[in-house]
Amino acid sequence: MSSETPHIEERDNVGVKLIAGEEADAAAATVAASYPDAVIEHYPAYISIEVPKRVTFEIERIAEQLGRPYDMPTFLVILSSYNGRINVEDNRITISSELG
Amino acid sequence: MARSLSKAYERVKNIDWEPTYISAADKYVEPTRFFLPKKAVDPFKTFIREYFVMEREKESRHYALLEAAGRLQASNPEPRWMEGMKFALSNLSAIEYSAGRQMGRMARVVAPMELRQGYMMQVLDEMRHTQLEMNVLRHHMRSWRDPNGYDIALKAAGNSVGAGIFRSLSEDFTTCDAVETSLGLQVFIETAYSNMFFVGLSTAAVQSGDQVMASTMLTIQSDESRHMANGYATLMTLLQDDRNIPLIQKAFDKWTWRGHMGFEVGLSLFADYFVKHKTQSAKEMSRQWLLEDFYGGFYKKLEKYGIKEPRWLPDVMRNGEWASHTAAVYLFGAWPVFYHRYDPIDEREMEWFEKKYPGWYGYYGKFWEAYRQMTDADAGMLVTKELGGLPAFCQVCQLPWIFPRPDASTGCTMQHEGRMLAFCSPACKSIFEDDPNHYQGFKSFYDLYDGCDLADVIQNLGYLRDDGKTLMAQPLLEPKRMWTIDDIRRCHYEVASPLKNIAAQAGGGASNGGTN
Repeated sequence: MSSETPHIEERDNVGVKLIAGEEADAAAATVAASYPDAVIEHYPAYISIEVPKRVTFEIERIAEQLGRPYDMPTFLVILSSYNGRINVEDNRITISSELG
Repeated sequence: MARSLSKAYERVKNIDWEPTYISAADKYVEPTRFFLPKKAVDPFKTFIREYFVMEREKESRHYALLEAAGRLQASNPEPRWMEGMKFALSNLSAIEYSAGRQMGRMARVVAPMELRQGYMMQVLDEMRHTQLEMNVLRHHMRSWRDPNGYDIALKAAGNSVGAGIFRSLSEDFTTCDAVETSLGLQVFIETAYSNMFFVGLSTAAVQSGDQVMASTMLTIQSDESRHMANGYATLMTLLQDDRNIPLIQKAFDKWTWRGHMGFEVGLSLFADYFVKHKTQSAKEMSRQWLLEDFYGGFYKKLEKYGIKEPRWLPDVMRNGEWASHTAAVYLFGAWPVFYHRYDPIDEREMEWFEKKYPGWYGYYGKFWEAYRQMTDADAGMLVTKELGGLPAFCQVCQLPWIFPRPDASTGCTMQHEGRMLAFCSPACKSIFEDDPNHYQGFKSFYDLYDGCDLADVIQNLGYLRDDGKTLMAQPLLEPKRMWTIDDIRRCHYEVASPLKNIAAQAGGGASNGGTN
């Protein structure tokens, strides 16, 4: 075969894929404001957000951005996927690159 | 939120008890070879009340779209995608249903309640996914211009030769050690591959005009988020006991290869050959989702616990270079035994393949030229027959032994209890040798149809249209005349297992497989 096995490099980026819509836009806006290194990309059906090492989504800040009440179960509806280790609390979700 | 989800979750955990009227062995029914501590790592904390609120909202949003799509019928979806969905959805809904069964079994065998809680909700999720996919099947059957194939999708998941790939994977998950199921399904399929499929291909679904499927994929993946956390929590729980390290390693070695052949190869085929408006190649998707996100962002970090690079990862990388194209040779070559219309690749796509996979034309160009010459029912030539007949199928993964490329196959054979068995690779052969009882009973296409005329095979499968004569599968989207069972019969193609010749020539010894 033509190729060598690629060297796998450890990565410390974390991120989410949010189902596109106003809630995803609001969540992306809160991340953009707090994480200058965040990479936010728009795809036809979802938004990808990548941040080095650690990212936290605060439900109250998303609610402020939306201008209406918002809660965790509804945020989980649009949280299509993530990479990193997730911790779901009552009012925030944290995703970090460390194990354990 | 008025009350604390985390506090409620902790309170409920304390309600767990061990019954006195039944022994632990009787309660858990099946033993596991893994060592499970009493206290487990919490997965995604979800309380049943919030779970239903969340799932109800997901359903409301998704089914609103489905209802509107049924009413408006406004889109003009890409035929290649819509025909490919017949095969994809039939297998996908079967995989999800069997995953639900696997979760129920895991919840019964795995003791710590933190993990059980996560698995039980996953049972409900998997049933939800089965229903979501069956509703897409129903919607497409009612809205797409050729419903044939959608109408027998569930039956085909049971009898199609291609479905054998996914059945062998699902059945392995259902019958291996229940803790191993978590490592294989939740850590490999759901963490490594489900993103690549459900998120990566959602873009292709939108571009193909199939918004219903795009919405289905992303709402399914929102449940997969919890499934990934279930796999992670199970793994971190197991890592608390050093005796589990070699057991975890062994499971990871196996599922690296099984996940690749059983899921990624089909996914790559779909990404490269069922998507007309191409953006990212399957190889690029694999690099992004699998190598960077899964192996780089997760697996590599397990080294500190003593977990090493999976044994078959270099083979996965080598196979992945060409896997989608080789799978396409199989799927397109064997078109009469499937149940959708084929839309062969055009000149523009051939150029794209050569650009994305340098050397592509040299390896696959001849097949596509032959395919194009043999689509006319009046000429009565079958590409499979003219190229030497169907290949042997691997006893473990049920893929044909033409991988990574038909001209450079890693296929091999082995005598086992008086039978000659084929394997796609040293990896599948080694997996078989570790646990032959697990795989030896799988009936292959040749066990059922060796010596039969292809026309009788198709009739037996039931892949005919309502007139009882016209094939569901057609080698072109719009052939000038549709192929019938009589056209197939005139081709005089007798299905013959390549293993018989090998067994006769080799006198029963192991040999290299070859391509046909």
